[in-house]
Amino acid sequence: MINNKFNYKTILKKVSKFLLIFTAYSVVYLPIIIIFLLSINESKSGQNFTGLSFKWYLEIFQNERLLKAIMNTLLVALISTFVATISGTLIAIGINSLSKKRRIEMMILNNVPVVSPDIVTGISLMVVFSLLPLSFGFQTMLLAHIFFSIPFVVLSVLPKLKELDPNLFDAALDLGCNYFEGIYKVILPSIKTGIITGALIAFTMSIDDFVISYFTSGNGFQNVSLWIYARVGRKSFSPAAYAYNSLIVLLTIGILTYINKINNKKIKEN
Amino acid sequence: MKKLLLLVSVLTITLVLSACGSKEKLYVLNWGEYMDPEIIEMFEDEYNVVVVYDEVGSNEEMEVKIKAGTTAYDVAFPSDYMIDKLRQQNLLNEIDYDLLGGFDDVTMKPEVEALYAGKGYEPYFIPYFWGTIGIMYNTDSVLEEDLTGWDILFDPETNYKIGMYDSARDAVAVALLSNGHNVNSNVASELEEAGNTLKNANFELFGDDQLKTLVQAGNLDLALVYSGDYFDTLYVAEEDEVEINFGYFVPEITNIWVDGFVIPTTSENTDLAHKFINFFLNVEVSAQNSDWVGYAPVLTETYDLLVSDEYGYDYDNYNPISETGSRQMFEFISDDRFDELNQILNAAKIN
Amino acid sequence: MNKLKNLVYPYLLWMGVLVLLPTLLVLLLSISDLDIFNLGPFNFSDDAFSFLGREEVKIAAINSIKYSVLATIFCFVIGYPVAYFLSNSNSKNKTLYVTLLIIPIWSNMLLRIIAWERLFFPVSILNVFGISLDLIGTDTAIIIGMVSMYLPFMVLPIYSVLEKLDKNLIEASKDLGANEFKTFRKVIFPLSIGGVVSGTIMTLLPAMTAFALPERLGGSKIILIGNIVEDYFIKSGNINAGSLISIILMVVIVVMFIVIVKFDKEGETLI
Repeated sequence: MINNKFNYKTILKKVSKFLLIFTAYSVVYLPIIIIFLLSINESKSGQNFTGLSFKWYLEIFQNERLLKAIMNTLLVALISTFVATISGTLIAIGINSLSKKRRIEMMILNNVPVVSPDIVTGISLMVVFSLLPLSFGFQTMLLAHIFFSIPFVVLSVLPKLKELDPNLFDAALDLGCNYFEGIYKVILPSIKTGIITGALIAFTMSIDDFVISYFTSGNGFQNVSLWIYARVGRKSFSPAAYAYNSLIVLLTIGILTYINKINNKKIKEN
Repeated sequence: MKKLLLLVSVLTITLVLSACGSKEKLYVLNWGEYMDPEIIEMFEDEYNVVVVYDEVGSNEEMEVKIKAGTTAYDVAFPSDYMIDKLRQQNLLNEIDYDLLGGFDDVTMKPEVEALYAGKGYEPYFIPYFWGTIGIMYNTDSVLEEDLTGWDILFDPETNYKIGMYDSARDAVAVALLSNGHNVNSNVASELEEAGNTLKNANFELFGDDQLKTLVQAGNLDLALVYSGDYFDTLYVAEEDEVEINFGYFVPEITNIWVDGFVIPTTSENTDLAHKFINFFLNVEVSAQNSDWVGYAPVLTETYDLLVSDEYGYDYDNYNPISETGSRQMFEFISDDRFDELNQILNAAKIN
Repeated sequence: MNKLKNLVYPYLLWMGVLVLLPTLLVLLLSISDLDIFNLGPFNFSDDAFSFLGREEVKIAAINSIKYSVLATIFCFVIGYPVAYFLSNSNSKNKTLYVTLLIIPIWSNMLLRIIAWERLFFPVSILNVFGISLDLIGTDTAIIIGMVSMYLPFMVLPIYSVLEKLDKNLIEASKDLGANEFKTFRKVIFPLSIGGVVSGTIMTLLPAMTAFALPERLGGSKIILIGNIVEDYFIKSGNINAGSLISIILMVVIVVMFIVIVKFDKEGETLI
């Protein structure tokens, strides 16, 4: 009798565990799968499956406006990541050396872009950019992307800085390094992983940004998200966007699996 | 690591260089799907310029963008009442007809000119396309006998899936028409009645350019559309040789409109803007454009060409003017009045 | 060490211009008739406040709360257990499973919303399987869409916290006689609150202020506060009214954070 009850409970537990995990992964992956299916669908409207075709992958390079949008996206992402990583790292080093009270104040300021909803950041930037002598478009979008990326770099680098020995920098100066050498040769190598993580986060946030770019662009400057939003439901939309996205996802999965392999190798070797 | 950084730097520099251009730029603000991209390319090639092309979904959005000035638009395409509104706010340049040599070879249809004659904004635009609004319906699911008038869109008990255009002026206009009132009505009771008509209706969704594709696919049975939406879908279906399962019904009284090229005062290159307009004052170019867009051309020569056997556009309702029905044109309304219409539309959405 | 402090001053200036200045501007816009695109003399006015009384704004506010709270609850109900199971897993591919859950975030959110939109129409590629959904404009569509977008943001913080839990505490609790459920209720869950709070914020805020998602999945019928803001700023040019709503949003968020900081004294959640 007790055995039966026990089995019933365990089965129930296992089934619910399976259902929950299945639901979680399904609800998150279903759109990805659909996007992939639509990218190999011959039909342009994507309302029914008319046949298998990889033509949309070629179309990425033939559709001039889409290609331009992809270039713009990459350009903004690369430059903003570069600038944000360098600035963010230096700023984090600076914040780390502040007194506790000042540090908390700076961190609150730093976290404002992180916790603000996209739309509030976008509106605020749009309003302030219209005062500055900037032309809306590449300049403003780049500035906006740098703006929301720096805090993430700071948040990635700071924990690593906390682990460092506080006297390391002073010791380097005593031993003859100047200010910059001290930072470059002593501090940076130890926080390398934090910097790389920060750079990756900044890049990811920039590549896919929509809302903030929507409010800070102009003069026809479009990144991929804006290209899509302007065309959704219209003739000018191309399933090449689905193809581009599927490629990015595949690339990301590839990179992550590769990193995972390297890490497993390292663990094995140790 | 260093190799990666080098690669990234080279990539960035390449991108930056490719992004820099020294060609003259023309900033155009247009509706979605309202100009053949091939023609834009032709213009870019002929004049060695870059056309920067922005799209919006409504006249009001166009007005906001022009007024904001964050992009210095050279050419825009507002509709009749909005052209009037923009010129009243001194936001438009007068058209310099000396720069439009194309008029030597083409003429504007007199019916088009009659629409806006004497309204005061004639010097500020050159007509682009004209048309009506009507109901596009899916022939698989909609019974022809149900198409009695605008009221089919507003039946609270309807079994049809109905799409409404996400434009305050158009939505309220058809509600007013279905109640027997004028599209420009400012009578509080008539507007209130229109508001209720919209609220009590049962719309599946609100949209703009996607309405026609949804009707064709069967995701909607009926939708309020612009005339060109239907003809464009029709032409593409004929070309792709797919079944034509949709039709266009124009109730007896409907709105007639004309859109036009305008040169906002923000333009920093009015010469190039005039060249752009002039490019379309050409029978071949405007014929190709009309063919792609679907709307009725405003030039006599082009119109005659399109309805001839060569293009075969002599469909019912292609001519915005009808022999039997009557047409009403939108007149200028103030911001406050438009705001009122927008509130009516929003009220309809949330119910 | 003191010399390093100087690195901070440029940042202070930068943030001043891009955070404090805009906030002041938006505040000014909300209480005056300043035209941001044509700067000139302006008067203080409360015109913007009249917009708050409009039906559409009130409904949008209610909708934003309703959908974001519902979506967050669903994300929590599904996400916490999943995070728990993942952290307890002994599989060597544990990190891979977690990473798999994060990968969709790299996929463009707009495209994912469009994918759902296509599935929710009666005529869709699902017809191949004999399925036809008619969910555009329904509550279900919005909730499913939100959960799809934000579930990873709920799982990740909770998983991180559960991972870092000292396993000895759980052992100790079991040794002291508590069964699995009691251990969870009295030891594990309280220690994971920080992650739950993070996850909730990262789900609630974006859901509350989304505009592309309700627009496409709600068929433009379901309006959230983000749609109102977009409408006022981009479509109808009511910059002052839009600014007022932005300010109110900012205030709501600040209040939310103050409450959280008071609740999570360790300050672990944010700083």
